[in-house]
Parts: sequence; C-alpha cells; structure tokens
Amino acid sequence: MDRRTPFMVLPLAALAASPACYAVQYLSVEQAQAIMFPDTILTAAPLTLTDVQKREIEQRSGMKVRQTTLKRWRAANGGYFVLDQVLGKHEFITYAVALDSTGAVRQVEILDFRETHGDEVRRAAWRNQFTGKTSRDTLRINEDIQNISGATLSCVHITDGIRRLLITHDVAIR
Amino acid sequence: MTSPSASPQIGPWRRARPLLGTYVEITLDAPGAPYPAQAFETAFAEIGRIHHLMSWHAPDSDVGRINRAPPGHWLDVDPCTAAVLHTAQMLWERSGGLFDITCERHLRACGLLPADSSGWAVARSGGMADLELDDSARVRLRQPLTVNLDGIAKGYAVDRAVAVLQAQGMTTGCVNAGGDLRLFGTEGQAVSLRDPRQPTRLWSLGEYREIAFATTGSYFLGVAEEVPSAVIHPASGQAVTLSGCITVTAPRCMHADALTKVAALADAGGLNLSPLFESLGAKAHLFPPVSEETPHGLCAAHQ
Repeated sequence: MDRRTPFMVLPLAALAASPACYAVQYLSVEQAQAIMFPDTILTAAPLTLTDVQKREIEQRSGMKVRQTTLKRWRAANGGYFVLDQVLGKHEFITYAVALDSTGAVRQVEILDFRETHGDEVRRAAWRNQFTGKTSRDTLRINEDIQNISGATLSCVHITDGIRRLLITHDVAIR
Repeated sequence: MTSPSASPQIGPWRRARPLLGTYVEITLDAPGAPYPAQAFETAFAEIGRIHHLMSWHAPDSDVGRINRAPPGHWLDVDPCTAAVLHTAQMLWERSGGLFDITCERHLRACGLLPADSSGWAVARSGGMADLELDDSARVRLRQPLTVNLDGIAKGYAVDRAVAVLQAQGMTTGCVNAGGDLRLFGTEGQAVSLRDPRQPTRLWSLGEYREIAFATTGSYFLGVAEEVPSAVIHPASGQAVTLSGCITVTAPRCMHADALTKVAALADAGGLNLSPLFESLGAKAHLFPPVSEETPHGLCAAHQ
C-alpha cells in the first residue's frame, strides 16, 4: 500500500456497522396503480395458468414459472397492470409492469426491495411470500438506512422477470 | 407493510426503477409540498434517455453507431454523449491512459461482456488516440474502434437526473444508481457504505450534502469467480484484484464513477494522480482500512 500513488484524501469516519438487511417499500400496490394508470379504472383480472401454458412459458422463456397465478388488473383503455416478484442471489423484489393495449411495456416500477444475502435469508424470503408474512418476521430489517454506496448490483433478475411476464401475457391472451 | 416514509402524502419520497443495468433509486424531500410525481417522471425519463444513448447493446444507440462507424467520417451524436466522450478523453489523457473507454475487448475476454461471436469488435482494435471529437457534438474515428461507456455513463446519468430535478424546483434529494449516488440540497443526508467483505453489513459514513459517492469492488459481479473485479488494466487486459472496495467522492457523480477505476489501477505506473483528483475536487478512499485492527475509519488509500 505504501507504493500507492497518493490521492487527495478525506478523513471520512465510518461511524458504525449495521449487520442488518436493507429493505424498502417504495410504493404500495394501490399507489403504484394510481401512478401507472392515473384516472383509469382497473379491474382485477387474475390469470391462472394451465399446465400446458406453464410448460410453454417455461420453454419459451427458459425460466421456471414459480407462481401459476398471475396478479393482473385490466385497464379500461385495454392496458394491463401486472404484479410480479423476482428472487435473486442478493435481492427479493416486488415490481409492477404497465402494459399498453398492444401488450408492450409502458412502465416498470419497483414496489418493494429486500436484500436477501445468503441461502438462509433467501429461502426464508421465498417461503414467507406464500404465507403472507414478510421476511421481516424472521430477519432484522433496517428501513431507516438509505443512500448506500457500493459496487453495482445488476438488475438482470427483473429484466428476466419482465421477459417471462411478456411471454406469459402473450400465451394467455391467445 | 406500509412504512410512514413510503406514503406519497408525506416525504421524503422514494421511487425505484430498473435502469442503467441496475436499480436506480430517487429520494426527494420537499416538506409541505405535494407528491412530486412530475419530478420523478422527468428524472427517470432523462436517465432512460441517457441509458438508450449510451447502451453498448443497442446498435442504434450513439455508442452502437460509433462502434459500427467506418473511419474517416464525422458522426453526429447527442450533446450528452459528446459531453461524456470529452470527459473520457480528458481523463484518459490526464490519467496516463488508466481510464480507457476503448478497452472493452478485455471485458469480453473476462466474461464481463457477452462474447463477440461475429468477430466484429476484435477487428476494431483502435484505441483512444484514434477517437476524434469536435466542439459540435461530432465524432470521427481514425481507426475502427469500439467504445464502452459503462465506466462513466452511470455517473453522468445521475448528474443529469439531479440537474432535471433541480430544474423542476426540487431542493433536497438523492439519486442512487446502484451504489453510485449524488446528494443535492442544503439538508444533510446520511450515507452508508456496503462492506465488500460482508454485503449484509453497512457502514454508516455520517451526513453529507452536495457530494457524489461512487464505489468499485469485487462484490455482486455474478460471473466466474476467477474474475477478481470489473476493473481492467488497459495495457495488460487483466482484471485488478481488489481486496476491499474503493470509494471516490467528488462534486459530480460522473467524475466519481470514472475515477474509481483510475484509483483501482493507480498502483501501477507511478504516475502522480493528485493533480487530476484535486482539479475535480475528488478524493479516493480504500475500504476496509489497511489495518484490520482499526476498522473504525475509511482510511486513505496510501496510509
């Protein structure tokens, strides 16, 4: 380290370490609907996939379909509001996609973001979604922490999730 | 589920979208003001526009067009792309070539970018000296080359979003593009640093205002474990090994973002980089500190 070229340095003090998972709710489902479909009436239109549809989606997307019921609302203008969840190595995310009447993605909003580092945390987060609990019940979650600097976390899981949703939509509306 | 801070009625308000290949979070605070829906929308739209201009993957982006352009012809690009290219050129010149947007072939070789199956990029082996810029947002290549702005565009997009938010009358907030963030406004805001050794551990760095933070490290790569980091030495093509992470602070996020790579490579070469960092108001920090016995501070890189 002595050989390292000197830089201008700032005596930043790291005050305390917090051994907690970062979690934040950006929007509730109702808030996301109001933002993504302002002044539009949304009607619940849940979609339950048949085994045949599930297999086709898995084949076309190359991804496993974990939930056979899609939380979906239809807008009066022909668009759709679709709610989905993805589980990555480091994150568990609830997000919403607004589709226009042609089935194209108009907007994506993240509703809920939870860190899930480690297998134990990840399994708990995934299991709890089915029981209506949140991972907060088993994990210490810190909702006060914000503005975290660190190396970039890829959004590949959401990108994959959106691709799976589009294929699901395509399969379902045929 | 709903925490008070998530309510659109009472700030600070936070929103997040997947953009720039990561999660972009915008925090706004305007006590007494209504929910700033338009400010969020405009800022995310601007980040989306920068994303599309500088996407390496899209053939019709400015970067895609440069990477397919024949040499010898002037190519019009967006003024934002031109601004980033000018900065990249300045940083290349003043860092002794350590910051190099034309070394993306090395990222492909390491598996950090998709393999070049067509062989097109391999044949475009020109370097920074072959990139010509004028003052009218035009680019000309002396030799075929490819550029990749992933090491600087994220910070620039953050700066653009902050400019858009301030133009919309927003006085306090933060734009955080997957860990590269900038605070604006006179109110102090807390900043944390993710511990590169243990991602669930966050170090509180205290409160700051009007400053950008960018960090590079080995965590979250999601590629083969033998790739030690996403920072590649332009001369050797080898990824550098970072035992922790390097955080750079600067007034502009574009500078902080780009200078993390320069700081990570600074061991080599023996170039005095202080004038460069000083002229941009930037400071580099290594984390964890060199001595494990004193884990209380973000220590200077050269201590």
